[in-house]
Amino acid sequence: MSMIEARGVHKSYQMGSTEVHALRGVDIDVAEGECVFLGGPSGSGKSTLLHLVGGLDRVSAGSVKIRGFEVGALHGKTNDAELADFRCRNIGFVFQSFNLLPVLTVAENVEYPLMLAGASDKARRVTRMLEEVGLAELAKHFPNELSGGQRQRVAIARALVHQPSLLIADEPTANLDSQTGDRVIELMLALSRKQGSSVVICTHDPALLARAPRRVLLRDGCIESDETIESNRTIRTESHASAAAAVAA
Amino acid sequence: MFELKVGWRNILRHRRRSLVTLLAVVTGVVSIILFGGFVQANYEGLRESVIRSQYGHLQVYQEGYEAKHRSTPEKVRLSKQESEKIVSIMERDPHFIAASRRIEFTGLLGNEKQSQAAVIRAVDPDAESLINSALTIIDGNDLDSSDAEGVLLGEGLAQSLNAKTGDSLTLVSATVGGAMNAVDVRVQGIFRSFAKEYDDRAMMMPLSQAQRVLGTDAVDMVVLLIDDTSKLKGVKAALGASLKQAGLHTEMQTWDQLASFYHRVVELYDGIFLFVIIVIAVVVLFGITNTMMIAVMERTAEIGTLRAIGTRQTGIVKQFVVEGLVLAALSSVVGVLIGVALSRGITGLEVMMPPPPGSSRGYPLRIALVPWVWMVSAFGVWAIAALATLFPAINASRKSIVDALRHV
Ligand SMILES: Nc1ncnc2c1ncn2[C@@H]1O[C@H](COP(=O)(O)OP(=O)(O)OP(=O)(O)O)[C@@H](O)[C@H]1O
Ligand SMILES: [Mg+2]
Repeated sequence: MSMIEARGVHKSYQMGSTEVHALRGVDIDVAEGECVFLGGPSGSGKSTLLHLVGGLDRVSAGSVKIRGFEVGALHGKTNDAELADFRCRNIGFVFQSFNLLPVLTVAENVEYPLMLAGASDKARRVTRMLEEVGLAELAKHFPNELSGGQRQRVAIARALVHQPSLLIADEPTANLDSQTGDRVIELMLALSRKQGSSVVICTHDPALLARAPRRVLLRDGCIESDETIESNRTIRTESHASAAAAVAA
Repeated sequence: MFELKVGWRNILRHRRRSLVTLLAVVTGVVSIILFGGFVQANYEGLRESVIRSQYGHLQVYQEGYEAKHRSTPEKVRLSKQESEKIVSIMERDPHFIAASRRIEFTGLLGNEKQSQAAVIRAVDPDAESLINSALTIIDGNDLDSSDAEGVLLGEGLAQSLNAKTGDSLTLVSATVGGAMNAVDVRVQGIFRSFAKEYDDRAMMMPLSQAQRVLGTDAVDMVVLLIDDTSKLKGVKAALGASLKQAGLHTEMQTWDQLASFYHRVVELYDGIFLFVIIVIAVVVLFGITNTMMIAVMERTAEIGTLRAIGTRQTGIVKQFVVEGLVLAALSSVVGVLIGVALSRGITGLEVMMPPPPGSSRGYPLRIALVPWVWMVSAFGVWAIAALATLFPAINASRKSIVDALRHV
């Protein structure tokens, strides 16, 4: 079964009297453990697609299934609580502006998804995750005491701590300088690969897109191109150690 | 509990806004406590002055007195032996302070120039000076058991007769046999009670002299004063049983059955108090609603994030309600503490208040300590806070996640 199966996805927004068509018939499949980079000009519908795939919004037409679970149906059988529980168990999110909870410490932010899922052994898993992103010493600090890169690493830890099968990141590096951004991406990919999670990242960064193992480009709400680049696949198969080294650098 | 921790930290994080809300709620709670305490103190003050200037705690009459004393007072009086027996039974009660036998009748009081109808209360002078401790003697002296001719005039009655302390007056009244009788009395003092209408017509005199005028040794009633008004119910029950056992056919009235004036005042103040509570409740409701609406708006992106991560709508609502309740709990505790401290402080200042309506005397400003008012205001604020938080929170939780995330 594929991780994501989107068929004939339409999404339109009502803006006053005019209807904005953000997506006009998108089909996409993402396999288990696959990593997809989503590109395209501003307004092409990247974020809209990510929201639908992440079960944050409903389609206007078509269907979006994650591991066979219908997350995007217009007036689906799934109610809000079911969908929330599904996200909490299966999906991790990384946002452009980090979106950490300001009143929670680094460790508490990372612990939050575990608490929602009612996981056991929370403290150990949080510590392990913070070590993975190289922030163990900052566990008791609050987000406003951290740099942008550190915050995004906390966000990555929060997104992956409950071992979701799907990681969704909407321009995770847009608020970071390119060097820091690169390291953050490296870390995110290395960790999700280690966990076997599928990843969908959307980005404006051409350098990043150039290194993508699979690159999907959107234009005006349609898929313009969808290519898998075998050579990048091997480049991305780095050891976790080198990613950790990148963090430490 | 996680929500408590997050709520508390958010309250601290938005210190200024929390403080403003806290002040609004504290002001509300303090106002209710002060006003409620003031009203309660007035009730108590009025109650004691009604008891101690007129009715005593309890009055015992011959059976049938209430129904017949206006038409045939001489037929429903307690005989000398009966009244003495009643006094001796009353004296056995541990809460007993004083018992006075009284006759009430009307007479014509006059000097050479003018005369005036008077409502006369004849009493045991020694016991009555205890019972009437709230009566102010504004000139001269209280009744004296050794001076049968000395009487007290109400302030208004003295004025209308142009009588001063030391003046002699003639009292004319009908005897129980129906003949007219006159005695000389001397103004020993002038008094002022809490009710001006009463002072305009009232005279007090020693029982012995009144019995001479009326030609009887019977009395209308025995008035009892006890040490603690809150014990009245038990005292009444015990007394009733003892009187019955002694074979006496009596009936009783307590002060609050007699004092319709008191009940009207209580009703009036209760109404005002309720109105004040409602106004304050509305102000507090809007205060907290406003705070929570701003809090919710500011944290729209945060709500979007939490929902994306998998928090249910109910989880969001719970978070904000807990936050509102924590703030409300803090405010009401602070409010009650300040309210109680202020109540004590204000009472301690001993400020004099102007005479209340229908009264002729000022009284010291006192704020009673009324625990049920503290409870009601504290829990009321809690309930209001829950209500005030619920709607903004439900609203926030229903916002589209995508729109909320876009909100920065
Ligand atoms: N809530 C909304 N209401 C109205 N129109 C919307 C809404 N969300 C998106 N759109 C419109 O849908 C289209 C696609 O938007 P989307 O955010 O998916 O683009 P994007 O590819 O993510 O762009 P960017 O690279 O700038 O983030 C745009 O024309 C946008 O104006
Ligand atoms: Mg976008």
